[in-house]
Amino acid sequence: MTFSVYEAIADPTRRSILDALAAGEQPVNRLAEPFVMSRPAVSQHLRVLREAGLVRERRVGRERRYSLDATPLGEVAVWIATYRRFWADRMDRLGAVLEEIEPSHEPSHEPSHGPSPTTGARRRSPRRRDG
Amino acid sequence: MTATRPPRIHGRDAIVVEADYPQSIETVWRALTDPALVGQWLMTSDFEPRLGHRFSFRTKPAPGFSGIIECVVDEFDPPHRLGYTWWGGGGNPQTHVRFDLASLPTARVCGSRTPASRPVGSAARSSAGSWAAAGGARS
Repeated sequence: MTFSVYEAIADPTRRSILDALAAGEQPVNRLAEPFVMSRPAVSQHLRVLREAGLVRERRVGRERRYSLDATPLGEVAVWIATYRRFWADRMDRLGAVLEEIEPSHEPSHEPSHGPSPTTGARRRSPRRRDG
Repeated sequence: MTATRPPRIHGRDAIVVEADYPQSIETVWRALTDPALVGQWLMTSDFEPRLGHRFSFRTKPAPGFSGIIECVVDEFDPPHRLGYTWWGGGGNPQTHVRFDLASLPTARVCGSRTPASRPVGSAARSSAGSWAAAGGARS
């Protein structure tokens, strides 16, 4: 089975490994140093990262060295940005539906006596519809 | 004419969208749980407001996406919290959507308004991360 980039970055240890690799290529021994876990466990995390395309491996003599390939993170960034836009847009639409089922009777002009000193600061024009 | 403030997006482990609405928390809850109303602002679905209900949202298919989002209601606490799993099929990560609604006690304006509500959000949590949308309501 291969791992998706989402599965790969879901684990905090694997995210720490990616952080460490951001500083440059590292042998597995050095990568394993900060973790209280066995070498095989670290190697298993590296395998997941490799299958997700986030980590490259090369052999130098008897040593395996690992380096970062951040390309697949672009997919994650796009996915997140898409959902941010999606939900911001839907929350705006929700506001329009709410206004239909229960009009808020906002005055069309600011009250001449000005906003209340305690609550007026947070009032904004409700006409803004783009977020 | 919609939210009092435009939606605000933040969140570190989740996508959080927060918005304040002038309507009561009960009205916002209705808009989140009445399938006909949900269809107006989110998507067509066979949603039912009860814990454990399996339903699906349907929208236009796209490459790598069948247009069907499979969900299970897993949080239901009227009128404060609604949550469901959210899976768009294929290689899409499963996420979680949560709406949190709260009244906005500071929104009494000129003595003529009842307290407001902050609603809501949807938060999605996946194996890879999570997102949330939140809105607010005032009555």
